[in-house]
Amino acid sequence: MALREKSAWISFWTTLVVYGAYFAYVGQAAAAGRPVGLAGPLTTCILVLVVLQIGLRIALNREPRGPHDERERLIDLTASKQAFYVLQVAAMGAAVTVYFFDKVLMAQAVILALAVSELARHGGIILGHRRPC
Amino acid sequence: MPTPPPIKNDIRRLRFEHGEMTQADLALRIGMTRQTVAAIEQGKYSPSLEAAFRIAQVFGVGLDRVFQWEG
Repeated sequence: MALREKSAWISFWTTLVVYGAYFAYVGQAAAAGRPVGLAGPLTTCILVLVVLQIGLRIALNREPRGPHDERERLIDLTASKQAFYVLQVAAMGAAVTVYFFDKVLMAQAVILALAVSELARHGGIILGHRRPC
Repeated sequence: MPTPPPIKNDIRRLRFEHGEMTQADLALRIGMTRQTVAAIEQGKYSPSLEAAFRIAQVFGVGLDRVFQWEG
């Protein structure tokens, strides 16, 4: 498996697991009517994500990491372009929550849009390494 | 899924004729990853003109000996 495909898998799964746990917590708190909070849980989530991604990359990628070659740049650009469309749709969805929820939950919807687009980008990189481009 | 480009190549044969050069060796000499060389060789990726010339230069042949248009 290509080094950057492996990195994309690491990013995909860590993003899915960490943000999945974060939004499970947010969902439970919102359903129970408890204050959800933003700064504390989000900072913890981002710190856990960064530590996990750096740790796993160091542990699993033993080869030296050279510069991107032209195919990897193309895969990265294509995945970023597709993820941008996902972000646009998800951000629109987040904007609509202003009619139904308070500002903290709307902020959570924006964070969810960012997480989904990030997952789309990593997923796009993984697919790009596996199919003709 | 995107259709593979209509370009055939003889990289595998050329590598064999050049002392069974590995994909990794070729990749190192043209500044790419082994996976990209494998994708080019399998017809899953069309390299840039610059990369195509670099590959031809490594084997000391013209571009048309390495890549052939099939479209």
